[in-house]
Amino acid sequence: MSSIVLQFLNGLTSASTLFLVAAGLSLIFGITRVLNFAHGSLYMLGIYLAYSAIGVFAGGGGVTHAAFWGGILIAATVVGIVGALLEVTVLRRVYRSPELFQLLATFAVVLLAKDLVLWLWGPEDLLGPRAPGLGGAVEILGSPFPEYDLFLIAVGPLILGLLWLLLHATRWGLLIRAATQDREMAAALGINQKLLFTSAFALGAFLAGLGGALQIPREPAQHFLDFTVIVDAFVVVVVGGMGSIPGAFLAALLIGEVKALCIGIGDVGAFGFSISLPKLTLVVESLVMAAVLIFRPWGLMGRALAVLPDPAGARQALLEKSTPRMRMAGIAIIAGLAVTPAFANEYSLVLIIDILIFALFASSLHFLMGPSGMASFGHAAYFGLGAYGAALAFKHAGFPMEISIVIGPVIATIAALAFGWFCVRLSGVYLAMLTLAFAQIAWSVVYQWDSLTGGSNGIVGVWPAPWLSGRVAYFYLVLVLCGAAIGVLRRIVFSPFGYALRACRDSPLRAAAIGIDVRRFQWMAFLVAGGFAGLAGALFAFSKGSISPEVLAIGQSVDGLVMVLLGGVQTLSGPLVGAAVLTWLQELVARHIDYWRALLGLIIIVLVVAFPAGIVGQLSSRRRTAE
Amino acid sequence: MLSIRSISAGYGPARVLFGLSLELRAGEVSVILGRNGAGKSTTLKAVMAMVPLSSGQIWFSGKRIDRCATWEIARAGIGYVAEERRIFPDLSVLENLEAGRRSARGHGSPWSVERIIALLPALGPLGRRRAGTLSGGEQQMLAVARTLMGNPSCILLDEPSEGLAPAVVERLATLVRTLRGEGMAVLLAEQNMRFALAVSDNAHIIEKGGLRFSGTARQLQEHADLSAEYLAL
Ligand SMILES: Nc1ncnc2c1ncn2[C@@H]1O[C@H](COP(=O)(O)OP(=O)(O)O)[C@@H](O)[C@H]1O
Ligand SMILES: [Mg+2]
Repeated sequence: MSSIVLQFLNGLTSASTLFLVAAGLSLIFGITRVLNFAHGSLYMLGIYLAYSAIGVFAGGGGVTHAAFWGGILIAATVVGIVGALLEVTVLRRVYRSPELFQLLATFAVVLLAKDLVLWLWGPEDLLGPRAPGLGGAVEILGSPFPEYDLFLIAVGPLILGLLWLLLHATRWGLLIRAATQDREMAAALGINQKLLFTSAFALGAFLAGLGGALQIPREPAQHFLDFTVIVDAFVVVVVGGMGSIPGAFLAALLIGEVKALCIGIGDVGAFGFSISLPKLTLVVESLVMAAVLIFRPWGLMGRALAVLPDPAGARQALLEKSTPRMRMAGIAIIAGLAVTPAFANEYSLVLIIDILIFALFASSLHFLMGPSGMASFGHAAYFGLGAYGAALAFKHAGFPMEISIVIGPVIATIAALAFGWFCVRLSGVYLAMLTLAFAQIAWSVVYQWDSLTGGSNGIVGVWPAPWLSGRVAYFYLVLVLCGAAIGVLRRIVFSPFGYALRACRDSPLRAAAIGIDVRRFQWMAFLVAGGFAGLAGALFAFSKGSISPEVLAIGQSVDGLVMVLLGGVQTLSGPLVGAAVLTWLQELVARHIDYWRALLGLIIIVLVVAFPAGIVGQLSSRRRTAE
Repeated sequence: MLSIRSISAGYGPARVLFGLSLELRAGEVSVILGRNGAGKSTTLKAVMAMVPLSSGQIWFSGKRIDRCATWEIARAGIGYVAEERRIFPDLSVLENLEAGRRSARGHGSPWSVERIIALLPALGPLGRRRAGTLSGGEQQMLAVARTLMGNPSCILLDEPSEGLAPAVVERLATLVRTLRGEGMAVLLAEQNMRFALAVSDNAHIIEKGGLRFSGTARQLQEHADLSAEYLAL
């Protein structure tokens, strides 16, 4: 009994923190419509800054009240200022870009922040001081419970109340609420959005920083907190309803309690399997999110988002069929690649294989995002399941490599069949978040199922058949399969099915009116994209000889997104260029520079600001204006 | 006061307006008439910088405004009431009015909630209601009132009579005349000829994004053929 009560209290404690982060994220999204990937980084910055600020204030002596609370406040305030600077320097320049581009910009900030933290504080965990006066524990039903956690439990509702007052009792709050509902109309009433956006960003960042800083007595500052926190915060915001602060509170309670419950229950055994629930909190969280989204597609307290005006006409952009000149260029590139092994060294050959595989991966994601209009944040699921499917068929089931390489994509397609069925019921950011949830589920299963997948060690010894084992032979296999697959994807885009998909994307109502079963078509798009991503994954597994859960981790999905967005969603060659550029950059930069993430982040920011339609998109629109 | 000089505008690749020009003087009510899809709303949105211009200029009170942001244009003194009304549904009626409030720019007596309610008594008892729960007519009145709270010197009304009961349209006509009496310039976009000509001094007909007729409301009434050709009457 007492352990359940304690777990319940633990749930409340983590709910408070979750709420602080999610409330800021939701506030920012509500008004700017930017899903701030960097919100977890702001949280992480908060905890590191609090560590240092308290250290400085304490000055080697004991941690006084003033040093502790002053440090926390300073840390949160600095993070708030950083947020405002971010808005002014980066985000303000991309508000008119497509939604996903803004995401890319915030993701670049994640990379920058990560290296900044590593550079300033180093890679070790930093353990902060206890809170003065709250360092003890109180007895609850015979068990000790930390006083500081009780304090945190109170912080959540307190901040909720303050935010409510701010939003409902001040003119600033009124304008924020108005602009959240209809930002264009708010501007037409003379409301200066720049100030609103910057201030909302600053407040949201302050809350994230505060959430982080308040953790200092409970958990060490670690440089991977950004990802853990952002995924949790995304889940909370989506479950609560984007833009709804009370929704975020409710969802934080729900998710906090669900997690605490998982930890409280511990290991359960069923059907001869032993499942460790504490390790599966992410899966359970994702399942809760999926369940909520299926029954309440806009979250617990959210509502359908108004469609924003699209001044650039990005949504109308048509995919152009290739001109004879482009076809010539394509043939020239393939011919050039075909003769590469004659003069390329081993190292460049490996790089080109990687590029080809990722070009296919990015093209399959592009198929979903461009012609089908469905953004996926979890495309790595299909890549990874393709890789694992092939590797398992080869290693455990003993199939020959030639067959295993087919089994991979089949597994990926089956996963797409299952995940896609749920995803096509949603749209926009919600759909994207559900894809992320499914990818996290897939990742957790692979990560946890030690006996089958080797857990975090992955699977080794996945080598191609003898006749393909040479680098050059494998290069030709990849060139032929990826080239053919990309060609097929291209054909599908311009087939009647592709046109129908674009009709579903551009005006679902009209498409439905002329008898197109929109969901069914979008579901089919998921299958196609999943299958081809799976093929890329299978080829990847055999090219590396080993795989680890990294292949279906969030980082892999983000790489795909970056490739597609870097190249430009509106063009078919975009993902190819994006894949080449990113793979090459990662390889080049990571080998020579310590802080390669920061450099990559900077490059992405420059590209996003300079090429709001993606590299190829920008070039082709230049060409169009020139003509 | 408001001068639209051969503007072209559209949505992405789709061009809608082709070299359209209009003049609106202070204290004058003008109406843009035209069939559905003729480009009336697009014209008003172009003034508000809610659709980008590809060529042409827009001047207001001696200043060029076609490079300004929407909010700057609003602050310069142009009020805009959208065709879809676009009140803030989750805000109360009073909060909607408050969101529109801007300090007066010198001319005429400034608008206040009291003055608005004196003019539009129907809004009086609705103060705390969520705007999303109002009837269509009430929402239209609220949309106009919210814009007035910004103390504009020129107001753009996009099909205000659309979908309203005749009695409400009558009240709207009185309102437009009152605003004109205050010295405000009013630019209407309308399909309802009767309402439009009853309140307007001047009328413009547009078709496929270009001007087909410009003259006084009286001249238009005398040209039955024009109405037949362009207004689907
Ligand atoms: N948001 C939009 N995107 C693309 N085309 C639009 C949009 N709004 C209007 N149009 C097109 O512009 C043309 C003019 O529309 P509009 O100015 O609304 O006409 P009106 O107000 O006279 O009925 C129409 O052909 C319409 O289809
Ligand atoms: Mg219209």
